[in-house]
Amino acid sequence: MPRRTILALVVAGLATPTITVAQAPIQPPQTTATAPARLSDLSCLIRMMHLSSLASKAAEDSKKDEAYRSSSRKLESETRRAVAYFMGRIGPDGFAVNRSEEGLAEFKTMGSIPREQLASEVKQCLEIVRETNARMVSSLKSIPSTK
Amino acid sequence: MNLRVLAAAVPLLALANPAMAISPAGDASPTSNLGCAVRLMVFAAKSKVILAQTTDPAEQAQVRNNFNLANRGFAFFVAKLDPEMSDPTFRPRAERVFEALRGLSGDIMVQQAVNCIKIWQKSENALVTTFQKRQ
Repeated sequence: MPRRTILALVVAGLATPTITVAQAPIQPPQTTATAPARLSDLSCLIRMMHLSSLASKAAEDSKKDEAYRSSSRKLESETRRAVAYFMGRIGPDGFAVNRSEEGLAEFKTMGSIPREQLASEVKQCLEIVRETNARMVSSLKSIPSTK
Repeated sequence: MNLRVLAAAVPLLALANPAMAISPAGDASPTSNLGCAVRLMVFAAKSKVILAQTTDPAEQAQVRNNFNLANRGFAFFVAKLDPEMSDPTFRPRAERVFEALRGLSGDIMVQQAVNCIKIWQKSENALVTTFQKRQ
């Protein structure tokens, strides 16, 4: 799997907060391309676990410059938050044996996904978390007693 | 509520109280999904303020770690609350939780936030362990 490329694509996406999964690609490779289907919570959880691990290693890579490591730290922080989110979505059945086997199958499948698609899926998962968190914060902050 | 010193003490509190009781009953419970979401949002916000005022690198690292923990824990409980957020009763329920928090001392508030973090971490550790066992 081209790990560094995926990481770079996602870091680039983070540096551009306005990017959303719903946006069409700037130059679609195929005219018949359709919007990606919404990923399952388990699919997102697996992608976020994998990416947070990659980002964590990148953040500690002393051969990289500080800007790269800083972006990686930010990505690690965001993906770990996303792991917590999808963990909450999955709930207790995530611990069942059949779900863990399903999760491992997802891990294996990830290796064969084209890098652009995987990067797009990762952004989709991150966007779900950002959007839901923002909605909740906005809702709670509007309560007078929080001011 | 002065959480400055207490925020830095979160890991110590967690170690000192390994068996804090967890009650699942109702919003009034400090460990309900809504109770935890509110506590962790407040705790993260306080940590952010403290971080901006702190100059000591060690304290900064500690507070930043607490902020990250609170943020991740918050996301966990937000996920659980997502289906309820559009319910008309959600906001009044959240208001009651905030009102209840106003009467709490800083150390109790931190203890309760730590409990919420522990709930999330327990789930995360269990799931990661499950995956690791199957690999």
